This record gives sequence, structure tokens and C-alpha cells, in this order.
Amino acid sequence: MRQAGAYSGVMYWKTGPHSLPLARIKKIMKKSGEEVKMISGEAPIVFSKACELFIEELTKRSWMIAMQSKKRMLHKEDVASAILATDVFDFLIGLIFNETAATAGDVGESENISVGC
Amino acid sequence: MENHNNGDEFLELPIANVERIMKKIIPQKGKISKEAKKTMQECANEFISFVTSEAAQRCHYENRRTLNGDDICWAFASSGLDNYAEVFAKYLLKYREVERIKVDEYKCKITQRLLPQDDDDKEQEDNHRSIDGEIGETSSPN
Repeated sequence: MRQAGAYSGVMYWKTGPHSLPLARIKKIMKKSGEEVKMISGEAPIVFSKACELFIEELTKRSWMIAMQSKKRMLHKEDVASAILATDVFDFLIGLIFNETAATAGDVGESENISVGC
Repeated sequence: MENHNNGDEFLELPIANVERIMKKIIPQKGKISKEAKKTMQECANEFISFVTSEAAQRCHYENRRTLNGDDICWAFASSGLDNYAEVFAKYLLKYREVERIKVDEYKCKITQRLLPQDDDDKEQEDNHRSIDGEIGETSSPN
């Protein structure tokens, strides 16, 4: 399967292929706040691509961290470290600390990871 | 628009799709733990929610009801995701151009369908008359 460039999907806006389902994205958008009333057709299409790029970026960063410890498997801790190491992903910190708060050991580990940026 | 939330509590992007995107990035020999996939899925969800609520606040502030692509680009920029703002500003331009072309093509087709209809009828009428003349029949009672 060929790698799609940023604009190579230009002719496939509605019929696909979209990596992520538009209807589901729209539902998540609606759930995000009371101020969200009507959503134009182009908005879920932007998010379908944006989420794809976001997942790619976060995966890349996480994998680089995993490789530093010579691991062959990507773990949750690697994703958490990548988030901590990237300023613009600060909005995700609450999410990972909510998860790790369940297991006290993990919280200590995340906090001790050095932030290199 | 539906407003019920039954079962929507855990509304998330399909994990199989998330996994597929992650696998494009890591080497073929690499593996991804189940928890890492789950975390990524939740992060992507939060990404949508966070950016959308920023965009919606802007809409609300400007007294607009419909959240559009420009609002999302603005929200990317205001959240520090400048590269996303730039990429998607261009993406939107292309998308809107393609949509415009589609609409124009559709309008063209509609117009073409209407015009020849009249000419064809007239042509058929003329043909009938000449054929009838040749074999000695009259097409219309006189």
C-alpha cells in the first residue's frame, strides 16, 4: 500500500479512503462541549487527517524513546515520556496522569523521566 | 440532532484504525503493547476534544453557530500546534477547490441534460415527416 502524502487524498474527501471514520469523529466533536452546536462537513474531514498526523507524530516520538532503551516493543510509558518531552502535547498530561494514578509505581516512574527537548 | 448519551460515554476512535496508523511508523519487527494502543486511542480522542472546544469557544465568541475548518485551523494555532495550522490551511484550500469543481461539473451536467432535449424532439419530428413523404403516408390527418 503506497504511502499517502498530505494532499494525495485530495480526490477522496467524502467517499474515502479516510483513516478514521467521519461519523465517529463528528460524535466526539459534539461531545466535547456545550458550545459545540453545528459542525460543517469539512470539519470532520480535517480531523480525520489531523488525527492521522497526530498519531503518526506521537508514535514516532514514542518509538524513539523506546529505542533509547533498546526495546522492540512500544509501551505506554514510552508514549507518556514522549508527551512529557513535547511542550505542545501538554494538554495530554492530565490524561496520562489520570491513568498512571491508578498504579502508584508508574507515577513515580513518569516523573523521574528526564525531559529532553 | 440526537442528544442521547446512552452508550456514548466511551465514544472513541476505532482502535484497529489507530493501530494501523501506528504500525505505519514503527519498523516491521517492532511491536506495540495493548496498553500503548489504548493510550494512543485516548490521546487522539483528547486531541479532537481539546481542539474542538477551543474552536467552539471562538465560534461562540463571534456569535456563529457553525464550526468550520477555519475555526479548527485557528484552534491549532492558538494551541501552539503551528505546523498543523499551516498544513491544514493548505489542505482546506485544496478541499474547497475540489468541492467547487464538483459543484460546477454537476451544474454543467444538469444544463446539458436540459438543452438537447428540445433539439432532439424537433429533429425527430422532421425525420418522421420526410419518411412518411417517401412511402406515401401522411403523418398528420388533414
